[in-house]
Amino acid sequence: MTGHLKDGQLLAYMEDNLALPERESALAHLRTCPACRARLERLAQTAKDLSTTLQAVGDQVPLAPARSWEAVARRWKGQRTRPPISPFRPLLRHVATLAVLVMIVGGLAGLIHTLAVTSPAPPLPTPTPVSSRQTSPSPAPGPLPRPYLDQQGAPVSLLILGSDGENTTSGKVDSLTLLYLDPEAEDGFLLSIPRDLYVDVPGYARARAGSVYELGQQGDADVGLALVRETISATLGLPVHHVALVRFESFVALIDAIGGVDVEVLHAIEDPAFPDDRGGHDPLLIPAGEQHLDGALALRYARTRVVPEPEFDRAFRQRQLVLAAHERVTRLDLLPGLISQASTLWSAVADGIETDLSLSDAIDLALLATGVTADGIDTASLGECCALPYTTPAGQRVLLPQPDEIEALMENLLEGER
Amino acid sequence: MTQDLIEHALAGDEAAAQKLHATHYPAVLRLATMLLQDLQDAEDATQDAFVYAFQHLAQYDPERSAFATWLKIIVTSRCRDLQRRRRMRWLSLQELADTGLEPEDEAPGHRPDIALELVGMKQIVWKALNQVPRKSRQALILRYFGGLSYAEMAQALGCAVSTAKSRVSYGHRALIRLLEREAGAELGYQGCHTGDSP
Repeated sequence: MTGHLKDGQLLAYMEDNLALPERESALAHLRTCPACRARLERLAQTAKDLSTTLQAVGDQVPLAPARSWEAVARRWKGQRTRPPISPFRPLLRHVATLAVLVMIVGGLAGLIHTLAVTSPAPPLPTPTPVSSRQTSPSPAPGPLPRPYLDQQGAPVSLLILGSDGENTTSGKVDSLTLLYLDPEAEDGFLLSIPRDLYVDVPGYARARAGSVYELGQQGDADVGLALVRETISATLGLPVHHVALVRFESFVALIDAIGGVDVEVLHAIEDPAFPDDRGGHDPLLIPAGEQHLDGALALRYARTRVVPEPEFDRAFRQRQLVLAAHERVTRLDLLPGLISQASTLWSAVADGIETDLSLSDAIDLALLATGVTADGIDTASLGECCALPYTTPAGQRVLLPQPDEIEALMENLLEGER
Repeated sequence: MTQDLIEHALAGDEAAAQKLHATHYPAVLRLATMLLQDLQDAEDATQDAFVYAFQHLAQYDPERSAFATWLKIIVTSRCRDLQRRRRMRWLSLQELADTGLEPEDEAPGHRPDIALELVGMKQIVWKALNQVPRKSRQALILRYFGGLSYAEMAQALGCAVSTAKSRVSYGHRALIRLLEREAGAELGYQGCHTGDSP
């Protein structure tokens, strides 16, 4: 046998799942390879620890067998009343165009929502998808993105760069999230990429992932989006088809367009030093309790650095706004109004979004998203599995990507599609 | 014994069905809780699974799997349905219509409300497990808590046997990686892996 045992072979060996010749060959390798022996030991230990841990967790699950049985018996015997079917249902089922239009709005809210809610890593500022055609020349050779719009059913990947928009001119990116959707396999994933990941930038020196956009925008160059696309494609070994840079303002525009949001302000906010546009102060006062916020107030609510209680921080408030907007957008009684204003809404949010997607691309993407069952949407974070803390010679604290781990993660997420 | 109870339950004997429920409820609920990380959802999935099982008892084949395993396969599938419903709400209009006029504020990434009393190694392993990508995490749970074979996992997860294997294999890899990092951080030698400068 040449080379080390693969993860799968090692697992099969441990579980005694190998056919005889393979088993013998694995055994022969293990006799001579201390590294693989150590991996096998580690694997066995982890399996053991995992069993013990899960057993302990299982023991903590509170049981209520009697109550559960009552419900089961009632339903088994057919006494359960089915939930009433919404009167809107037939209408909705047959009006496909309605869904298209709502997805323009819902897709936006939905993506923001997904990113805020299902992202496994640190709290995301607040990204969204997409609009306004902009073609950027590619700064350096790299993997060619596969066009997906001409190929119905082909997978598509969209990299969403989130910026909290406080430094709109600097091009600073606070979060990077890759959304990958495969409509055929009804599968997909959301991968969060740390902004401190120290990546190889084609044609430039190594840099933090969060600074790549800025690099591409330097001077007269306007290749930020393309440069990020090339860089992340190469880092992941996966073609990134589209990129969208989403500023927090676009979300605020969406809030205005839907008539504001209602949020529960957990603790009164008093920020006498909230900055205004002219370098002065514009005191912010929001009393505790249920409040209706318009876009501008929502923006200040999200941005104030006053933290009355630790759990009521900026990340919490931003997430709260996203959920409130999501709730409002998905309220059926608001749908007719939203649909009639879909294009206004779109242009309102598009201003804060820079992307290589057109509106029609965005609609296609939104439709694509509906074809992917969310059960199939996996979430992962590159920072957790595939990067190690490192201090550069210049003293920058960054995360060093681990190519082998990234490859293994991508293989797992794509599950043999490549 | 179990087979007798099944025969009786098939004939509509409620007491027999209740005994089956009492015997298997803890294992099914625990598995569902781990897969969903939410007690209420797990209880719902467990109830769904038992109702389905009792309604389809005639389809149970003792030659193919133990009754407990059959239930675990069913509950896993219910859990996937539940997750789909929960996560799709924002995406699908149809789902919105199905759920009525008040889409509740769901949070698919919310914090698990179990395993708060773990200490030491178990706490570290549980924390690391929750950072493993979801599909691999669920595969590890089915394998090491549910005790399912790869073929049974494939059935429960609606995937190929080879996929079930690779999910477990990757789950291990990710878990080991996370645990090593945790150990490194605790011992304070965080920088030791970074010898290969870029």
